[in-house]
Amino acid sequence: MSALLKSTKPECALNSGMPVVGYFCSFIPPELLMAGGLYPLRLNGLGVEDSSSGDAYLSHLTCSFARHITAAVLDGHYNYLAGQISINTCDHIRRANDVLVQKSDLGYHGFLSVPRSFRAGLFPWYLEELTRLKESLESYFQVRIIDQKLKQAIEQTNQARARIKTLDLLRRQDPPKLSGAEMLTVTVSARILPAEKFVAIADSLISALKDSEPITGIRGRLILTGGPLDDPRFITAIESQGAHIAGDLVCFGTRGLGMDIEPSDNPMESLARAYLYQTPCARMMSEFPRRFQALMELYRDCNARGIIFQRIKFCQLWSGDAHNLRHRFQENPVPFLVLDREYGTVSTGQIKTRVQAFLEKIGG
Amino acid sequence: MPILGKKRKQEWETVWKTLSDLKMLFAGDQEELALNALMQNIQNFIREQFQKADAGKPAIWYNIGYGPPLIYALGDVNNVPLAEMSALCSIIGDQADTEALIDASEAAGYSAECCSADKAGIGAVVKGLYPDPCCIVGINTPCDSQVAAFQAMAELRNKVPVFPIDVPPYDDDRTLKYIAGQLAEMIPFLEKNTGRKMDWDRLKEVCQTVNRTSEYLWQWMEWRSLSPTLQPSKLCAFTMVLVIALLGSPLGENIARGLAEDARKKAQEGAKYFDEKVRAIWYQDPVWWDIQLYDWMEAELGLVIPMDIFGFYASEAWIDIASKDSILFGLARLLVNCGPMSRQFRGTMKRYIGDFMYLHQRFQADCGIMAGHIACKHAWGGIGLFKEACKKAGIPLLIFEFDMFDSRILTRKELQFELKRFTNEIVIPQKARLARKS
Repeated sequence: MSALLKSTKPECALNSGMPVVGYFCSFIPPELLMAGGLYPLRLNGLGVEDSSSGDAYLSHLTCSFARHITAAVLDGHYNYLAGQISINTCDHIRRANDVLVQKSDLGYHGFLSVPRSFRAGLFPWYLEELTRLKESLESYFQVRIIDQKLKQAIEQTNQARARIKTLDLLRRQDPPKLSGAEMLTVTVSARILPAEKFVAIADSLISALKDSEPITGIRGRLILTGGPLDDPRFITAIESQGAHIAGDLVCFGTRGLGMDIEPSDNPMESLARAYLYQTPCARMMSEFPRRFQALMELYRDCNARGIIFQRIKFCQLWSGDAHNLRHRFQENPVPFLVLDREYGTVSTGQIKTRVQAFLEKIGG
Repeated sequence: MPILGKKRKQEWETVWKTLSDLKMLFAGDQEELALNALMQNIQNFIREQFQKADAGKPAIWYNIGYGPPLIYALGDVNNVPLAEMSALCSIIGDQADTEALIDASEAAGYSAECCSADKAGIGAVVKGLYPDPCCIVGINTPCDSQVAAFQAMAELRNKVPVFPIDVPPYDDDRTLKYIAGQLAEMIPFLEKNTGRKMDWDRLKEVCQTVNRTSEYLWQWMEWRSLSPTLQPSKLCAFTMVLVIALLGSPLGENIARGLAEDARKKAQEGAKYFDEKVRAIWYQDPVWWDIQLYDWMEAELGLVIPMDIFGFYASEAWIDIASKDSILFGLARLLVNCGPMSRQFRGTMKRYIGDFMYLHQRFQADCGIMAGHIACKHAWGGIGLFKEACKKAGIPLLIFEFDMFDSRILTRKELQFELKRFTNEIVIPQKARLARKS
């Protein structure tokens, strides 16, 4: 899987003439694209070292994740995309979408306005937005997204999610068979590969891991939370000091891949329920208590001894969570380390030093 | 100086004393009708807040994107905008207090990268400057920093109940109906937490007050579009205080009337404010920590700001009071299309750029000044497209990074240098070239 992350270009889809559509956020159900015979690709900036063209439009004061993806599209790294779908995740992604709409050569631009609260009264809006997105995809790509195809797509992604859960258990067990960095490689791959291909690779990985030796020399089992993280090198730097990321709640990680989608006669509604009510990220207003509860459950389930919070610089939404977590951990102490980072580079030395000190603090 | 006969926190006493001093300074000065209206009614608003707090009335906190009309309709409820102390300390009180509040929030673990309006607001919560809330209304406009801030404040105040209002980034009636539906949902939440009943007749009166206030603001904008300008540049930004804290109250109406009357009187008298050389649309945040900078710009550079993004009050503010549905629809439209920054930032850059071009033309401007508050990520995220649009339209644009409530990011001296260079070396020569051509 690590090899697959070096080039996210879906050659097989392109060779068969399948349009590839990039999408920005975990609130966009890839099943909708799969059911229309389109190839869903979660946009990322892996392998893109230069964000200059993104910086020129978005300035140096915005999130480097948004800048890298914008640069990747503008500079032609994604020249095989037939279109992209953005959402109102945050101010940065909305502006990246503005630039892509006005300045890229992409043919299709979809947009989804996802409610920023779980309040029941807002669910119909999200369902309507998904329906509008479906109609827009059908109209532009001249495809039909029918219920039967949606059900098939849901079945495929449920299978992929089942593999994720199995692999996550192998990462959670003590001693683990899978490192946190390897698990992130798996979850990023799940968002890039076709579901059936992912399932096949995951099955062989699971089978190989059953007979493998567990990881030894672990000084501290930790939980990783915070904003989007698609670069396993970041976790490698953490784990190189003897830490083990036994569980995560990060975008591109297992957050958003934990839920099963209920099979039903109304697959659009099933999709909407599963995706809107996933473990909320910091864009969701007033959902910090739910995020905190999910984090603490994970912390206990993984028998962890500390929490590392990571955030891309300039992300104000996640910075609010860092404050709230600190506040709660003052009441009920849990060892807690905050690491700010820039997308595209891993400040290995700094991370190692801080993690080393953190492990010493928790007695690892 | 005690407020209502009681000793208060030092930050409040400083604001109160300055307001009292300014009021005496301008008393009876007809030349300063607009400033008098502002100072008088802001002080009355603070007095009402303390009266309600002293009497133990429930307080509702809300962030910058929300407005008070629905709260006023609940009766004796204290409306507390979360950024109130940020604005009051900087504009009226002591800037050192604002910066101390910012430092207090950062010391409490709040991110330095968030907006200083929110940081100072959180500092005010940490220092106990606001009456305890019975609930919070949170809205995702104008920015992410607001979303983070009101949740942090809810945490700091023992997880007080929050009603979040979700504002989509679209400009259509479907969106406004969706927001109006949320306002309807919010009423029982407010009633439950305040122990007050929504009085629809009172809400109608509040909306009529909003409508009268809107008419005054539109008249005021009309007068301000005249060239040469009639009023000081700094007055533009003050309407933010009105819209966020006082809209729907007689105090807010008084301020709007004062602004319009002052401008009308000066126009009728043929008064000339000063010898203007350059007119600029100040787009983005005012320099709250040094409002006198505008006086310097006028005196030193002949640079006037006929309108800014905070003073611009869009034409969608009218509320039809025919039915409950039309009232909620009107309030929703007011909230997201007339709130300062919410209007320009919640959607695509089309609205942001479109409004700038409109203001540039209507207010006969020569250039634009993009005062880039470093925490405004939606504005900085659109900077490339904005620059291109201005270049295409031949509009000189000054862009600089600063912090609207924190003078430690870009100093007055640095700011003056930028403004002087832009005015004298870019705009005035271009104006001369254009004049020669025509």
